[in-house]
Amino acid sequence: MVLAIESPESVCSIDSEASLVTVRARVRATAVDLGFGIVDQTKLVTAASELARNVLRYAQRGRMIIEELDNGDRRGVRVTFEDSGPGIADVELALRDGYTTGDSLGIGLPGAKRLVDELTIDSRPGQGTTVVITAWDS
Amino acid sequence: MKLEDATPIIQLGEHLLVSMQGDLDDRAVLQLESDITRSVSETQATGVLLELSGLTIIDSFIARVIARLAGMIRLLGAEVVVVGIQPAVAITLLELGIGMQHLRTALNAADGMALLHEIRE
Amino acid sequence: MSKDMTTGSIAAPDYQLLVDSLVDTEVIMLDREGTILTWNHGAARLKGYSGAEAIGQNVSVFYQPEDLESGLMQRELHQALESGRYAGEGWRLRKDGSRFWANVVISPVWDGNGEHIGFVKVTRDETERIERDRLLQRQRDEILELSTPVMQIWDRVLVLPIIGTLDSVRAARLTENLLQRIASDQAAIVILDISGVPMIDTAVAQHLFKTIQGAQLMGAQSIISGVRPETAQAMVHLGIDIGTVKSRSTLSDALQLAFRMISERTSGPPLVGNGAAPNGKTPALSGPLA
Ligand SMILES: Nc1ncnc2c1ncn2[C@@H]1O[C@H](COP(=O)(O)OP(=O)(O)OP(=O)(O)O)[C@@H](O)[C@H]1O
Ligand SMILES: [Mg+2]
Repeated sequence: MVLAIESPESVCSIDSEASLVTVRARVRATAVDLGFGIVDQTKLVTAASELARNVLRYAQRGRMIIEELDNGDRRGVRVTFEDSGPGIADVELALRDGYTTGDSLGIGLPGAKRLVDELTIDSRPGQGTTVVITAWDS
Repeated sequence: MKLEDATPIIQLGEHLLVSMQGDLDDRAVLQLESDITRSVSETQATGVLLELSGLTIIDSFIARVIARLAGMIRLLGAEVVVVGIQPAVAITLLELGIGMQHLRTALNAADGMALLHEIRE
Repeated sequence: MSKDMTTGSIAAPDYQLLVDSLVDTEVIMLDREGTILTWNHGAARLKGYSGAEAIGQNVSVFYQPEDLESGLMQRELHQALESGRYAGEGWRLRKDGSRFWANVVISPVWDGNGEHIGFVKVTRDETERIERDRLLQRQRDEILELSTPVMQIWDRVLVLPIIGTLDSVRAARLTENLLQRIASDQAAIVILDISGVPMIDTAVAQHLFKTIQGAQLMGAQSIISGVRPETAQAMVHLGIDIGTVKSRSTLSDALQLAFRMISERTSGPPLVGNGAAPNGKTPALSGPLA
């Protein structure tokens, strides 16, 4: 069984350039707190940075929720990025390397997926996007 | 000698030493990019050493700006060497899917400076 | 008929016989609250209680206090009732207080009128298996550690002899160790000796490629040694630019090359991780790796 612990300060709004720095700092602090090694910390923070930037770029605003996980054996963290922006019409396509509507590298979503243990996207066009990443201490 | 108060760009003879540090938001990264290109053209520098040991992450945006910056510096007639990428940052970049193989790299600032001199010879 | 087999009202003689013949497996019946109604040979052997001691007790006596506190027993019975079956594993207690790793299956029992009257619980001792798994895992970890030794053989030159197959877990560990050593030793050259790798398929070549790229990002230059023809093929297939990665067929050739590079360095220009990029070539992100 996985126990999730969510504390009030683990919600963080994403609405400006400065939020990127806050997001990285919060996620880093959680990873350190969970005893993640430097490589796992760096991977998680980088993934969060990509996802927070997507929220800013495509939906202008949204929020991040951090939950610490414990499955009795290992500790982990689940980070949720929610927005009410335009949504993603074809999630599978968006997860492909090189696919972009933002004239960029199209590496954010597939790259973030490679950096964590699990990444899921729930999105409805016109309603918004929720991306959830999970990482366990290795 | 310091050229800019806001960004740590230091002139060492004909070379510029730029030390990227801390947690930079996208605007700060873009600001640094334009500061550096301006400094290169103002000082007619022949080489730029980008020292990245102070960066705790390089995400796709920062990586892209670094690659673009290197391209612009070369167009301005100077060479670029990147030094000091942390092990965890290097591993993460590769996992993310960014190789940056076309950047010249060296292990530390001393090696990087020596390489800049060598390239000019 | 076993001495310690007590017949509950819902057990038929055939059933008892069957159950009693299972000496390695506990098969017992519980009432709705978890009170033990029947006991078999297997249960006696597993837990050390006789039938007389066990029957009438609540099944909770087998749980560790922390599991009881967290409501594990209620959850198990509840799930069995809700979904028709509960299956799980965990530590349970014997009479003498020692613990064993139990594989547990609980199913609800209904009477002829469809009324829920209790549960049948089947428990097997899997302690040996779990301990073997743990031992294996520990040995595996130790072997992983041992088989990726990074050796400094010269000032600023590291050798990494890779022995055995390279899966992604091991490759990740190896890359991490190597890059950390490059940083701490300020190593300018890394020799990756792959003569001890039995087969280099594209996955392994991909791992090696990443390790080399990682070293390169940090400013260290890699030399591959021990490359066989089929290896070269796999690497070319991956689009690895051999022009930037030096390669020698034997480790001693690679060492000689490294010494030469180092001595050139002390008398002249420095070693660089990626100085091989042709002048004037526009730097660009390589984009997603293949
Ligand atoms: N939160 C979001 N809301 C709406 N669309 C999104 C969101 N996140 C991603 N997308 C869509 O998915 C595409 C792929 O995203 P991804 O992050 O992989 O690449 P990118 O942002 O275009 O480029 P890069 O991240 O490399 O700069 C985006 O171009 C965009 O169309
Ligand atoms: Mg993106």
